[in-house]
Amino acid sequence: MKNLRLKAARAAKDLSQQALADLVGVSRQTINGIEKGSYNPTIRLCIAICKALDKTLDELFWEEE
Amino acid sequence: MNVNLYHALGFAAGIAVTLLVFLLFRRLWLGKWRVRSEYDERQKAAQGVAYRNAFWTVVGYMLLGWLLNLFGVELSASPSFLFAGVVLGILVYAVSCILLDAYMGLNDNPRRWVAVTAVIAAVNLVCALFNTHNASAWTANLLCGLLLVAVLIAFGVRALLRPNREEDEE
Repeated sequence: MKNLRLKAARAAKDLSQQALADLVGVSRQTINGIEKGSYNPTIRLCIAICKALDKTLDELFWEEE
Repeated sequence: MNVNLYHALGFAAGIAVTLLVFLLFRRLWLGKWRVRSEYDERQKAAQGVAYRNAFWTVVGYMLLGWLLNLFGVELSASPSFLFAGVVLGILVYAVSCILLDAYMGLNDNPRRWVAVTAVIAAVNLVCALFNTHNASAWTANLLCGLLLVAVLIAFGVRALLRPNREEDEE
């Protein structure tokens, strides 16, 4: 499932995938995979992304039924 | 000393000299003796998948050799056949990693990597050209050269197939 909230939060911060990837120490393809829903990140990476985007885990990664 | 021992000593000396040249080259070019590629968690997971692909490919290759042996084709006993299996496993691992975007580390320079790989491939193929009188050396050089050429082709194909960055971020 696509993570549109992550994409929106990244865009709101005016960050490219590469810029966010550099901030959290992963490759651009990894960020792209998370946004597209093809890669399921570990909690450690989720937390790093949340910190970089000033969001909570719920705001970016919690899936409502 | 017999010829086989001389051959083994020559082989070991060749590997030692190559390693030394490689280390010196890296020291001079990168300014470091030891350069470690860094991979993120997705890349490490993808490398696990690539390793599994390579493992089963080599198992299949060995089974094929065993079957051929059953039918009287004496291939599996030759060192070249075994070496080709190792090369095939490395090829599957490398190509799988490339297709999964897990070959290049976060701190690697793709252009530099392509340049160095192309040079090593060319050296191997040229050595194969001059080693036609020595079957084992010819096979080793040819297989290594072809392996690196195949890896470069896979890298090029992946780069062509990958949508450009703007498109990827849609």
